[in-house]
Amino acid sequence: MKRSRALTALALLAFTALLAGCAMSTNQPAGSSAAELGKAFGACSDDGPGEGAPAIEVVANTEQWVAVAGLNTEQRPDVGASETTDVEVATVSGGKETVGLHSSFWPGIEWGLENDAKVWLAMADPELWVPGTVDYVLIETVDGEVFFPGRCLDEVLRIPLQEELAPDSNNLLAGLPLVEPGKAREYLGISDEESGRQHPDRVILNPDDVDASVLDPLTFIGISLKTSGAVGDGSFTICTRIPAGWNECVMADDHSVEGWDFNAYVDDSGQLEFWLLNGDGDVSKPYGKIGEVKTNGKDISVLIDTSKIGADGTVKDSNLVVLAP
Amino acid sequence: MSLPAGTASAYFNDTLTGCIVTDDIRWKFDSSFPSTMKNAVRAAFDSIEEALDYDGTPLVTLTDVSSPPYTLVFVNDDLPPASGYGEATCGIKMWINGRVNADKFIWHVARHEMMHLLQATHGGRYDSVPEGEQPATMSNYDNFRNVNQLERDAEAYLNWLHSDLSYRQINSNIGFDNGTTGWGGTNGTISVASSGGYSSPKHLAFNASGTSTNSYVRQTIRLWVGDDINDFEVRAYLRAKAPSSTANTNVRAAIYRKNLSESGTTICPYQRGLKNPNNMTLADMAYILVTESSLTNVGTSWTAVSSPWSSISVLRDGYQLQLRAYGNAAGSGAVRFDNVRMEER
Repeated sequence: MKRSRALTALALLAFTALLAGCAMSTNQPAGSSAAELGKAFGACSDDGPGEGAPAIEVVANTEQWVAVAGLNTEQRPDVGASETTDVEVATVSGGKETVGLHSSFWPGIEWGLENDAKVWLAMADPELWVPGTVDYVLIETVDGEVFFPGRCLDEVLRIPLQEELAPDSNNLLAGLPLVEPGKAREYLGISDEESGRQHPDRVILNPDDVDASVLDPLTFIGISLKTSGAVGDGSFTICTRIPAGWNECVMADDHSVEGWDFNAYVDDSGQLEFWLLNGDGDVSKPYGKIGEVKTNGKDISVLIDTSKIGADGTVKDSNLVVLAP
Repeated sequence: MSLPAGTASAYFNDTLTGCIVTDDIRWKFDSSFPSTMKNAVRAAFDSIEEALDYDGTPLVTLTDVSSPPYTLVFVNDDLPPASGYGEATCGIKMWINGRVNADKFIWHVARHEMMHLLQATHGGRYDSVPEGEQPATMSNYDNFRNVNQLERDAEAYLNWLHSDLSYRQINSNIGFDNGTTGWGGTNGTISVASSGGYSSPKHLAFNASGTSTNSYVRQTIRLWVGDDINDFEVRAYLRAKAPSSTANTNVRAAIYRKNLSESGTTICPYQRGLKNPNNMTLADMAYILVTESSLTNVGTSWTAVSSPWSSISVLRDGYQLQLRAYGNAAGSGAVRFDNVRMEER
């Protein structure tokens, strides 16, 4: 017990010394901008950064933050050191934690503490990195400027984030440590929930695009298709669809006069619709339905009269497809 | 496992675009390399060597040597995590951040860096296959799969870089020497036959349930073309034969494309791999037939069938290309395929 008390006293002394301004740091003025602070504390050495994650992904995936009140300066690495060492940290909440802190973080942290800035340690995922490792450090100055000390982190984090989160990057980044875990992507505006949903009218019927449960009830048939001529400049596509989704397409070009052989899924009704789409096969904005045939679940041959389709893709008749003998 | 988005394979600095083309790399662990990390690195290198060319030979060899010349593999403690996970320098070195701890993470970083030394660059022209490796080895992605394995995306990229065949090869496992990996059957079942192939013993047996118009073997590859400056052409090529002289066997080779973004830009928007700025992985596009061969009747000798070359514009920057080998062998067993591939020129 006595030993523990002695260590605690030593640590507090060291923290106090730091807070009293005895630690080593640069003379960067208190009112410096994020760019100036980033240049002073987050510059690269000759070697530059390694390969890592995009900045937005780095900050969006931080799940544990430590608000720093002081560092144990007795553990300060020697000048010129470039390594990660265990450091005891006094937290704003009054606790203490031991973290793996890279030597390049020290000057920026010390400057922050001396200048009443908010200093946050972003902890690396303990399932991937040595547990307790600090991934990066986010510092918000009293003027609301946010910078990232540490080797190359101005180039790796601040500059790309300032660009990506403009014009409110400082405010967004300053608030990031306070965001509820799991909500950072939404907070930063990069949530992918919406885009991950399949639009019900835009299902692509292909075994590499939908679950087998969608295709299993359907019958797969072959189609031989010929047209009376290319549509417009030949950049349009002719595609088929059924209520379950969109089948594949062929180009409505000169080759379509000779014919294409392709495929379609049909359901028990056997009905198959033919549509004109753009050259990308974009099913979200079809030009129009050009016909419908009954397949009876068998291979079919069709002829399409393209004379009633405008060069700009205007569909003037929705009954242009007939079964060929 | 919960992993940070973009971790390990989410690289944003293209450092190596000019490595000397070589199929053979000699490498050596630095003497201080932690023994606890070596197995994961070796496993990563082994997974690259497992990718096979059309004839069953390794596409590349990575040899652990003790004497120069070699590429030195070491851990780097000079950087905090966010400053870099790893890096490679052509013919000289590759390093992994010394604070990387999980075997899976080590494996991904090691594989990514070694792929650089094998001329792979970011974006991976043939990365990000649906259901493939996540994150793709050479592009940016959000999450890891739960297992370490060489998926067809990186394997396809190795074929593109290192196959001995003429032209660039777009797909993987061309000769079925890695089993059915990467391949699927539509309206039929696939299996690998272990003898009698065209250029190596193994080949594919496709037992069609339907006809040669609606039964096919397929492989789908995502293709990144955002950095290309010229249009390119693709064609489908295969070897096929009938299972017996009495089996009337018809085959056809075809390629379909599915656009992954709107046309009209030459700027690659997929800063995070093949996801677009809205983080969409699949656009609302249907597959479009690009090129197809005529229906060809084949006998019991291996016969080459190919589609015409067809141009693909670089004005579109992301594609999903689906290679199809149609075939049937009317009621008398499975049609045989070998060296089934999409080629680029």
